[in-house]
Amino acid sequence: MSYIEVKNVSFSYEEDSQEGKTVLDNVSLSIEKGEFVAVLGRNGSGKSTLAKLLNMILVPSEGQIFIDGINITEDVCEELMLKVRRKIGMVFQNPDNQIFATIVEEDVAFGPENLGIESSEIRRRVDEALATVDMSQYARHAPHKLSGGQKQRIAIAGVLAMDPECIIFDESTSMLDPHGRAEICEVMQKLNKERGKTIIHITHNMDEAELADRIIVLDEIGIRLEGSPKEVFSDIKTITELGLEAPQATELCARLAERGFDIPLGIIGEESCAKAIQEALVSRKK
Amino acid sequence: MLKDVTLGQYLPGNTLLHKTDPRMKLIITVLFIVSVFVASNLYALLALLAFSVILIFVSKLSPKIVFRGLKPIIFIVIFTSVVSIFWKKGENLLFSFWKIEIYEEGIMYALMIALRIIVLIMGTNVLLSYTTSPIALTDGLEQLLSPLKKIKIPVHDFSMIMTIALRFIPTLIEETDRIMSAQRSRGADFSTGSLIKRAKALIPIFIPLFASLIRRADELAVAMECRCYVGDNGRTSMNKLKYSARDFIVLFVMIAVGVGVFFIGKYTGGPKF
Amino acid sequence: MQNAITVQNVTYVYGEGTPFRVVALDNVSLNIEKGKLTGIIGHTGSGKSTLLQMLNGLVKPDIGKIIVGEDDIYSNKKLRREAAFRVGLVFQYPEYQLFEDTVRKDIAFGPKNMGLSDEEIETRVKEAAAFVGLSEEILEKSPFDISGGQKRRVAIAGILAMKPDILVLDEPASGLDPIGRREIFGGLENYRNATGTTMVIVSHSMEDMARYADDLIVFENGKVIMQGTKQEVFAKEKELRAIGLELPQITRLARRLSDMGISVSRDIYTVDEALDALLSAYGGGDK
Repeated sequence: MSYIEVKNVSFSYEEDSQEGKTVLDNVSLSIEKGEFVAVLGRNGSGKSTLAKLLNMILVPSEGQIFIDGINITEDVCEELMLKVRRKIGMVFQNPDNQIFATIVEEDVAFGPENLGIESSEIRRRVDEALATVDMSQYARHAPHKLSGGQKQRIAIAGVLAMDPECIIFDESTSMLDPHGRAEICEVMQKLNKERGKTIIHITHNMDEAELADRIIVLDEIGIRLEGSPKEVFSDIKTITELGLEAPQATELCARLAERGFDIPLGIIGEESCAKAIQEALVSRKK
Repeated sequence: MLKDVTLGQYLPGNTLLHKTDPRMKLIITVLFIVSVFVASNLYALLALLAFSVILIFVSKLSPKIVFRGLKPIIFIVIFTSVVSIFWKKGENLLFSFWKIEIYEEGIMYALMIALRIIVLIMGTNVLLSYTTSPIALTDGLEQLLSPLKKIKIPVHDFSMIMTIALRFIPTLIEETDRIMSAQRSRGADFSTGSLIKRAKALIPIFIPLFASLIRRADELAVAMECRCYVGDNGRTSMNKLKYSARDFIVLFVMIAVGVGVFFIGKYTGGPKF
Repeated sequence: MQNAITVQNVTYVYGEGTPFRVVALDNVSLNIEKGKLTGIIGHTGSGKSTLLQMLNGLVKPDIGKIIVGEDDIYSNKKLRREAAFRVGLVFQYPEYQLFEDTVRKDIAFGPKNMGLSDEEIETRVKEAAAFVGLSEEILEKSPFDISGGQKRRVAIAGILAMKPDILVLDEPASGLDPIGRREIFGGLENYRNATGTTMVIVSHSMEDMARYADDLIVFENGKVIMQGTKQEVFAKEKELRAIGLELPQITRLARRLSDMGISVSRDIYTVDEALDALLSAYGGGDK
């Protein structure tokens, strides 16, 4: 069994005024330990709902979810929730709404304090977490004066201090400027490669999805595409149909291929694309 | 613009007062307040004023900032002084005109009231607001009051509420400012017209502000839950507060000043109130 | 060319006299040409947002002048208040300022404040809603009951309905998915084509700037470090990269191809342009 197993899960929000709105319909997927997965989809495609289900903020209407072999959809109780939330940390979209303390290190210490860890160990974890996200020099600062990217890094440190096995980034880059995005992407990669953390990155930015080992594309009716970035980007048609955009260079290659140029599908990066286009043009001239 | 308001009066530093344990600071602040009321005549109050001025220098605060901190109470000081000048009757009539009679005691009383308010605010500002970070203060308060947990008073919850309020006040001020600017650029006018018209003009600010507050509260609650927050249950703390020798010296000084003020008031002359 | 807005030697400082003093704008001068879409690029905190608020009368410069059309808008109170109607400003995340109980009323808020007649307001609301693709049905809904992208368009329509001479938008598409972005920019393009309104757009997205802007202004640390046509500014690829701004991937690809000796323009800004350029130079393919 994989680290995360989602089996035939459906979820609908109950609304008083309208009929219950189904956001996930019979979705199944699995994620291995140490994997870096990007979950893509339009706004309202159920990506965030999926994340909240994994962390037991929401409970599925139907289906089962297993985390590290534990069925989290059965016998739901506080003990189980705490167990799951120690394993799976979550970084949210709005950097302003997930930091509650007035001093950075106090906020980072919040998780381990809740777990009842001893003071000196909390200190060690907080220092280490801040160092990992390169924010040590801001330990005693007030969060509201920091940039969006810095606030998100603090939020990540807060999750790291709990030492989870997996971290979900729920559109954590969408409110940041390009600089902030780059910062967070760098941290994600570092955590995945150097710390072996399982990373689930929820986004609608294709350039960021490129960094993942595997991409899952969701829409209202479930998983529409799944595979390595190369495989997913090969199917420009479906991507466009789902209202997403492939990286520009990849899209150009695909559209040239459509017009009969001899270019392989799913090329990523401007350098490889340039090479492929040049080769295609040369072969055409012959 | 609202953005120019600096919130939270804490001014970081590394002086004796800055380093004193927040719990001890709360205790000496209480002692200080008691002293202000124990000080029964002008000399005793002047002694406390001198003590507060010494505190300002010890904690390396700029006198300008401390005086600026007194601005909000100027009105109260003037109002109560004026009222007591006119109302306080005594034996030595200085001046009378029509029905107004001003006595020496009245002026003395006004002076003491003014001094008492100023010393009270200045002292507590220096002891707490300027030299203690809000989080240290809430921490200190929580730990100082923790015995009350035994009688089921939710000390932790109050301290958490305070922490969150402190964290979000600057954010909400920014947000209010933003919403006001946005509505103003849609032609909303907050500064002219009748009272009712002005009150109505606030609707476009308050509705979005409340919506945003609710959204923020909701998201924050989820974020805190995700970090395994279940209230006070089994929580530990990174910074366990410990008293040091320094704290007891500060306490001793404060007690000495308090006792001194009491005796000055007792053995020196002048009217007592 | 005629200028819609001229900014002359503007300086603005936050928190003067406190330890938190920040120079938001440092002797900034720039021109916004009439009828053009000018893009403003720069990092968060580079002073752009302060400048935008100056353009419509919200923030008075410490030093310098803001001239809209012919008028120095801070020279008297009347001009300053009028600036709010002449220069329409759409804030970042404008959906958070919606407050009425129906979308229709919310869009009408600005026109109402202008003192227009009820019929005029009604026509303007309808027009504005149409430009940004909001249906009649949505007009009757509560602005708190619609999707994020729709809320954003309602907020923008609220400003369009005021028919400003100049439309200024701060990150109009931030946080939206690609379709949401296209809906916003598409709506703005419709509006611009129909009315010829001068527009100023702040954006972090070099792709969007490349696709939609005529002129560009680059801010860094409160100063204007580049201004000119899109072509002129994008020609300074190295300087842009030095301050952390990358050209759109498609432009970089085109330039790389051109360096490799393939005949394609260095001023390619969209995938469509690149495709057309390559097809016209190398034939339409087998299809």
